[in-house]
Amino acid sequence: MSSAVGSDALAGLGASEPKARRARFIDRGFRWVTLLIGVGLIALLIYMLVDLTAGGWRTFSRFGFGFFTGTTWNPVRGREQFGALPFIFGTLVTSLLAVLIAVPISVGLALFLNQVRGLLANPLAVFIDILAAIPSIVYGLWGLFVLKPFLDSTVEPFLIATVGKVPVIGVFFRGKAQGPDMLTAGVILAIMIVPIITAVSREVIAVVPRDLREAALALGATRWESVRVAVLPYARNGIVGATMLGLGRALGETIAVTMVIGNVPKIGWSLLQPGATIPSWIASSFREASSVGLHRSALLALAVTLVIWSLILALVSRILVRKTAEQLGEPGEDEPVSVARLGTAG
Amino acid sequence: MSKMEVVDLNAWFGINQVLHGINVSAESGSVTAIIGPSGCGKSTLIRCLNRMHEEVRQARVEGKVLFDGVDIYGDDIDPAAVRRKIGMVFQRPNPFPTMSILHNAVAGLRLSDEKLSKAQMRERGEKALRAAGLWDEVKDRLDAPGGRLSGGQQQRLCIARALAVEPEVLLLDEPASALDPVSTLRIEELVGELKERYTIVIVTHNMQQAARVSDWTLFMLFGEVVEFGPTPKIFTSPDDQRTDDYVSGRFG
Amino acid sequence: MSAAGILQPVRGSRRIKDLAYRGALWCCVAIAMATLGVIAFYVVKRGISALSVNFFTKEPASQLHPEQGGIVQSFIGTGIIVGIASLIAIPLGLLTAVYLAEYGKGRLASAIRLTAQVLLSVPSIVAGAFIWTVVVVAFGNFSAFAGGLALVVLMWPIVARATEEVLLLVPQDLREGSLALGLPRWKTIMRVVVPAAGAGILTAVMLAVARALGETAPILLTALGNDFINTDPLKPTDAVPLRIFSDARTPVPGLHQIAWGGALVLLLAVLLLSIGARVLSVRQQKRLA
Repeated sequence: MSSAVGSDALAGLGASEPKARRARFIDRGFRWVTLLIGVGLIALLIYMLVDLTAGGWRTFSRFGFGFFTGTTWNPVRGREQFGALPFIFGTLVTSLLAVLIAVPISVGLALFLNQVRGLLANPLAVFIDILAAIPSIVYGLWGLFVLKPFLDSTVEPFLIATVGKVPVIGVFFRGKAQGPDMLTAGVILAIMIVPIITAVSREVIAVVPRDLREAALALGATRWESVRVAVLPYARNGIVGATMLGLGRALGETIAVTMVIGNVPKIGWSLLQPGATIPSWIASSFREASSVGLHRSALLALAVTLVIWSLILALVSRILVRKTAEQLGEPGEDEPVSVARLGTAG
Repeated sequence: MSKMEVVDLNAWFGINQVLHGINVSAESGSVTAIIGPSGCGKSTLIRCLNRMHEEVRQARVEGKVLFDGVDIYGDDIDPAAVRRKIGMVFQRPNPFPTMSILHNAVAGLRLSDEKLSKAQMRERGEKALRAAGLWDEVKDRLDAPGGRLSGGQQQRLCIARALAVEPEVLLLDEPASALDPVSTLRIEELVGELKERYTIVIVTHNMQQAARVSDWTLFMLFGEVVEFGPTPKIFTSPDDQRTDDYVSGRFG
Repeated sequence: MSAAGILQPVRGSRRIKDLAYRGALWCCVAIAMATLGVIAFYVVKRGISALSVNFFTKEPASQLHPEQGGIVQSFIGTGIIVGIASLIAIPLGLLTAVYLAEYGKGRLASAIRLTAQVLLSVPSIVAGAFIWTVVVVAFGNFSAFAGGLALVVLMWPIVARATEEVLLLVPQDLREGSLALGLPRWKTIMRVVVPAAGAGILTAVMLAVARALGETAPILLTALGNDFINTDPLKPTDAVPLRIFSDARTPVPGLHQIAWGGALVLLLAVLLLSIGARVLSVRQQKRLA
């Protein structure tokens, strides 16, 4: 359009006007800024993983697989020995104990919340959310000054006197009741992971179609039977996924565990002895880790181990929860087609 | 020269072609209605007139839309400038929830680069609200939130908002279909008042409304123009049998 | 199942199992509520006696008379550390959410979401270890700034994901209405969409701050703690969780009481923010509906 009339009309709409060009520049610039910031998040994660791995590399290359199987941890210069097994052991023991205690309770809560509407359900859900919001330092403090004395004076002597005497499993409950121990750490962790396992289990159970359960009830099944037959089999994968999430949370928990576990790199059979987990050890020894020498690198190697485990657990959990949703979340295949048919027939 | 002219317009959503070779025009100071059954492409067509269609993912347009003889899809054309000249009101009233009535009315001015004083804003806001027939009802509560009005009032607020930026064409995409009959009538009256100053294109699924309100009518089917002509003709003696079937209610 | 089977009353072992099931569920509920009750009880009971004017206004006194002192340096320190973290993480999180909700629909957006998910599942001590090597060791000392950065690693993904959800809830009509007025996309986002999502974004921020207030491990490795007030962000700084941690591990009962006081204040602050966020979120949903 080169005529005068044409260019007048264009004058209002032209994109190469300085005003229009500036506006487009700002618009595009804004998009780029938000994109770069998003990329920045990815860069942050990569930087973190690379930095930790690079830091721990000296330890991995020096000790190789022995890092994971060694039982001695000696940062003294000249005689460095870094074996992470005691911490791996402590982490696994406390986390598994936590899961063992937490999962039945969480699944029970999830089932309860799912079937009860009204008066009791809401307060309970709120309480569980409050439990989830309590900072770990508060759990640690309470665990140290309330739970531990209680366990030391009542539960543990009881366990020592009863289960402790039984052959085979008794070996888990030997030793002194006093003092920091892994049992207390396990119990505190259990309390801390109940909210998340409950939340995810609730979601998973809610996805199970009501019809199945109602059909079972209509046939005269008891509540337990209907749950056993129409809910649990379908929700099972998801509940396992929820458990993994809880496990992941448990093995990363630092402060509450540090305060009650004693931080002693020991491996033994009894739950009633002190121990150490990977996070609690990092938290308690970082101050002595000087920049020269292998000590800092060893702690970073521990951190890397922790990251790898959490990521694997998170990944597996996500796959499991999604698998459950896929199996159950599909609406009847017939619905969309028939509605569409009704639409065009007019 | 027509105020707006559509020449061989084709439009796609992804791989689905929804408009096929549309040719139609709108004269200055007239009201053109677009009618047709659900899914015939009315909304898509009107959205091509102010370049809103391309805001959707994977939407594509080919052909020309001329505004005062200039193709708005030309290479050197700024879509935002197009939309300031060709305003739009949507099916569901969408006032900005966090703004007051006055601020809603002048939103197009406040948020653009125009530097206007508070007094100027008030003046333009009043002008737009009067033009939309809403001023008397809201002049005492201009600072109240825009969302508190009734449906019909909200829609007139949206019309005021569109008018405040002083467009030359006003596109109405089923503006009354979400409203009650009384509000609908109000909107139709408003269209009658507005057509003196603006060129109006209105999409409607209500044939009686099209007959009442428009000077020209475009009947579409499956993304194509079936018939385009003066409203009285379309509704009493259309050329195409399909048009006749539609307007006498035999289908749709 | 025969008709006779359906119509017969449930008895015997079936009934017992069902009763046991119902009983077990109620037990779980009782355990959960009792646990919360016991925790709340002790925190309040032991914490309240520590609260005094001194507690909020003075630095720690001698170990012989800890009740004459307080932990004002912890409150100030928490304010500085969480303040630094919020100043950085909130804008970054908001803009990340804007990209995810308004612009990115492709693979990059999925990658960013996945990254946020990963960062959220990594234990917080790892964030601390990361900043420890990058900032503390590199610059030679612990600092509030390093503490803030460690919290940014945790807060950024929270703000981003929570804000993205809220932005996606804003109806498309609003965006269209704004674009149809000839407004550019960035103004549509920042002046129309974001304000419309206002309360929801505030909710996301409150949740992120509540999380940051309660974290101990990441700031332990980066800010270290301090017995005195420190306002220099480049020096070691105390924070309420750090003070609770160190006071609890001393043998002095007076300091234990101070620890409980800190825990009570911390718990109240975190709960207020979390519950406030929940209330705001419900109201926001009603408003947009």
